[in-house]
Amino acid sequence: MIFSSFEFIFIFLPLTFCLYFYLNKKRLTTVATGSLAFASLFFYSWWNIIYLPLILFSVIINYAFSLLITKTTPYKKTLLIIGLLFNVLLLGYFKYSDFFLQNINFVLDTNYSLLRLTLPLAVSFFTFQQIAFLVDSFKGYVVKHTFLNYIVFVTFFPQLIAGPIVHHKEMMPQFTKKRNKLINYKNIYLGVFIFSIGLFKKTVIADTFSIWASNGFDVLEQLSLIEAWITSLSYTFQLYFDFSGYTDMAIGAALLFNIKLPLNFNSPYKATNIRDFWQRWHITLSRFLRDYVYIPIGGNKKGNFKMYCNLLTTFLIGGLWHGAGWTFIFWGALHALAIIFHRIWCNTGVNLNKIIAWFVTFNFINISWIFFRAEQWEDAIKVLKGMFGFSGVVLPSIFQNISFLQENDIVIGEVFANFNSDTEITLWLLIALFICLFFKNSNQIVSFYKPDNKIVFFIVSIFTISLMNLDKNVDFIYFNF
Amino acid sequence: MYKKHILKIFYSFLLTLFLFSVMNYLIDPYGYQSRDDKFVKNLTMFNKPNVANARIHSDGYYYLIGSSRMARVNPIVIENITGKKTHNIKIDGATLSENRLLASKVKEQGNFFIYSFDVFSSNKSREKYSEINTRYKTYLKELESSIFFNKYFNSDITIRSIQHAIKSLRGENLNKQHLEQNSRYSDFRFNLSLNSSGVLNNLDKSNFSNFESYSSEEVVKLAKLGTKDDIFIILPKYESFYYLFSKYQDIENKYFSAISTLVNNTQAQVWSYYGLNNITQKENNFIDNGWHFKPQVSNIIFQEVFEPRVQIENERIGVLITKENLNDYLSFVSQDIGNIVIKDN
Repeated sequence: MIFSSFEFIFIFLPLTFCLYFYLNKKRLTTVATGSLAFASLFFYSWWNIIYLPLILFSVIINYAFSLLITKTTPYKKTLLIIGLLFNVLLLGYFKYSDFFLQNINFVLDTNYSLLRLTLPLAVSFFTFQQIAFLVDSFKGYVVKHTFLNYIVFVTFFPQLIAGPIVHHKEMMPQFTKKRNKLINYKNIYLGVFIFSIGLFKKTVIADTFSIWASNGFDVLEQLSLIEAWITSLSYTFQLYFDFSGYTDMAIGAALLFNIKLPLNFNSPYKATNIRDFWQRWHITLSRFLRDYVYIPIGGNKKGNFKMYCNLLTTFLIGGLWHGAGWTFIFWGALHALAIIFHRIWCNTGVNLNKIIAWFVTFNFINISWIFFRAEQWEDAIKVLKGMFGFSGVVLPSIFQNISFLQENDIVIGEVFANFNSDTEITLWLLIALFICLFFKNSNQIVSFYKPDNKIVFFIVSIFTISLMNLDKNVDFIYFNF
Repeated sequence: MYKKHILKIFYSFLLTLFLFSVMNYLIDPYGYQSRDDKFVKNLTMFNKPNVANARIHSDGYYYLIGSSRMARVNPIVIENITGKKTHNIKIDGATLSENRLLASKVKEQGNFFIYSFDVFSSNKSREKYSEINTRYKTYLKELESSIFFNKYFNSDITIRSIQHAIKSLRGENLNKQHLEQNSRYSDFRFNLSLNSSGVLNNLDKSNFSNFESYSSEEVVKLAKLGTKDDIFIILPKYESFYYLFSKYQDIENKYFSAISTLVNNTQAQVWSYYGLNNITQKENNFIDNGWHFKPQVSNIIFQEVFEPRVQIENERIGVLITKENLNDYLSFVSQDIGNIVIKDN
C-alpha cells in the first residue's frame, strides 16, 4: 500500500485514525498504541506478508540488545558490536548479497549463482533507525521504553517505507505524551494541508516527469543533445517531487496522530553549493550519516587529509545505502569529491557570484543524478554522451537559416520527435524549475498561511486534482511501428 | 476555527467528487454505458489500459481486439449489424501476447471477441523491445485490478468529458476522425513500404525486423480461447504488402503456419481478407501507404462476416476458413499473390 492510493487515503488512514482516537477517548491508551502498531504492521504486510516476520524479528532482536546494553555494564561494547553486526548482516544479506556475488564472479571468474532475493520493503530505513537506537543505548542516551512504544517507533506507518529516518529522541516522547492522545484539530488541518501538497507533488508533477525520464533512460537507444537534457532534467525534477512529495505525505499523515516528523527537504535545488545542498536534501539521512558514520570515524578532528578520507567513506556508504550497484557508489564518490573540492575552494577565500554558484551546483547535481537513475553504466554513458553532443545535435527549424550549423553536422529537424510532445515538456520543465527556485516549500507554506476560505479552496483543488491522477495511465504512443 | 475549516474542506471535497463523477457518468465520453452519440475518436483511438479494463468490465457482448487496423472499426458499425453491444479495446502496434491477454480477460467475463489476427502482431521479435515489454506489463497490471474506485473520477475522463461537451456545443461531427480518413487521397509508393516496413531487415526496430513466429503452443493457447461465437479475422492491407511478405524473410510461410495452427485448434470462426480480393486490390480503400484500410471498408467487411451472402461470379470477398478448406485456401492465396504485378511509383 502506498500513500498515493485509494486504499490508503479512503480506507486505511481514516479507519486507523478513528480507531486510535476512539480507543484513546475510552482511556484505553495502551490498546490504542497497540492498534497503531498493528495498523503499521498491516500496512507493511500489504506489500508482501512474507517479510512481516523479518521486520518483527529485527525489532525484537534490536529491542533485546538495547535492553541488554543498558543493563549490562561489563559487556556493553561486545553486545553493541554484535547488535550492529546483526543489523549490517541482515541488510547486507537482503540488499547486497547479489551485488557481492556478482563482483566475486567478475573478479575471480567464478560462477556462484545469485540469490535473487526480493528486497524487503524499507529494510534500509528501519535498519538505520535501529542502529542509531543501539548506539545511543550504548552511550546511555536512551530512556527506558516499553516494547510497544519501541515497535511503534520503528514501524509507525507514515515514516516506515521511505523515511524520514527518525531518531528515538524526537519520536519516543511524542508517543507517550498524554496531550497527543487527544484529537487536535489544528494538527488535522495542517496534516491534511501538507498531505495534499505531497500528493499533488507526487501524482501530478513527479509522475508526469517519470514518463519522459524513463523514455530517455530505458527506451530510447540514443539521445540527441536536447533529448538528453530533457531526460536528465526530467529525472532531476521527478526525483525531487517524488521523494519530497512522499515525505510531505508522511509528515501530513503523522500529524493526524499528533506526531511531528522531522523536516527532510528544505528547497534543495535552491542550494548554491554542494554543502548547502546536503543541508537541504534528505536532511535526516545526512544527519544519520554525520552522527553515526562521519563523526565516529573521526570527522574533521584529525587534519585535512583524514577529514577528506572520512568524507569519502561517509559518502560511499551513503551511495551504497541507496542501492547495491557501482552506479550508486560512483554517485556517492562524485558527491564526496564535490564536497572536498568545495572545502578546498572555501579555504581560498574566493567567492562565486550567487547565480553562477547556483548554476554550477544545480548542474552538478543534475549530472550526478544520472548515475543514481541509470540501471547500468551504459544507460548513464548514453545520457551523458547525448548531453555533451556526442550523439548528434538536432535543433528546431528556427535555426535552419544558420548555415554554420549545418556545415558542422547539426541537424535541423524535430527536436522532440521521440518524446511525443514539445511545448508540454518545455512548459513542465520551466514550471518545475520555477517552483523549485521561487516557491516556498511545503513546510514554509503551512506555517505562513493562516486558515481561510482561499486556503480551503486551494487544499480542495490540489487534493481533487491529485486524486484524479492517482491511477494515471499514460496513453501509449505508437512506437513508430 | 480549525474544526470549521476541516469541515469545509471535507464537504467541499465531497461536493467536488460528486459533481465531477456525475458529470463524467452522464457524459460517459468513452461509451462505457452506450456508444450512441459518442465521438468516434473516444470509442476507437486511444490505447489506455484503464479504459480497456473498464470496457471489459462493462456490458459488452463483442470486444474488438487488434492493432491499429481495429482503430478503423467503429463499434457502432458492429452494434448496428448484430444488435449486440460492442466495445473497441485495440492497442496500436499490439503483439500477439498483448492481444491474447485482452482476449483472455474478455473470456473471463463470459463475453466474446472479434480478434484481428494480424501478420505483424505475429512477429515475436518485437517483444524484445523494452517499450513493448513495458506496455505489456502495464496492461497486465491494470487488467488484473478489478476494483474501479475511479472509473468516473480521474483526470483523463474528466478532460474527455469537458472536451466532449465543448465539441458537442460547437456541433462537431461525431465521426470526424473517420470521415477525414475516408476522404484522404491514397497515394501508394511501393519503395516506401519496402524500405520502411523492415521486411528487408534494414531497420533496428520496425514491424517486420527479424520476423520470428510465435511458437505453435502460443498460438494454440490463443486458439483455445475461441468459442463458436468468437471471431478471428485477418484484416486487409493493400495487395503489395502480400507481395513483400511472400518475397522477404519467409514471412508468408511463417504466417500461414500460424493460421493453420489457429484454424486447427479453435472453435471460433476464422475469416480472412488476406491476398487478392475486392478490398485489397483497390488502392483507394487504403491510407497510410496501404497499411491501414479506410474506416468505410470496415462496414463492407463486417457486413460480409455477420450476414454472409452467396458469392457472385468473379467476385472476391472474405473467406471463412475451416479445417476442410484450409490447405486449399492457403495454397490458392499463395499462388494468387505470385500474380501480383508491382507498379512502382
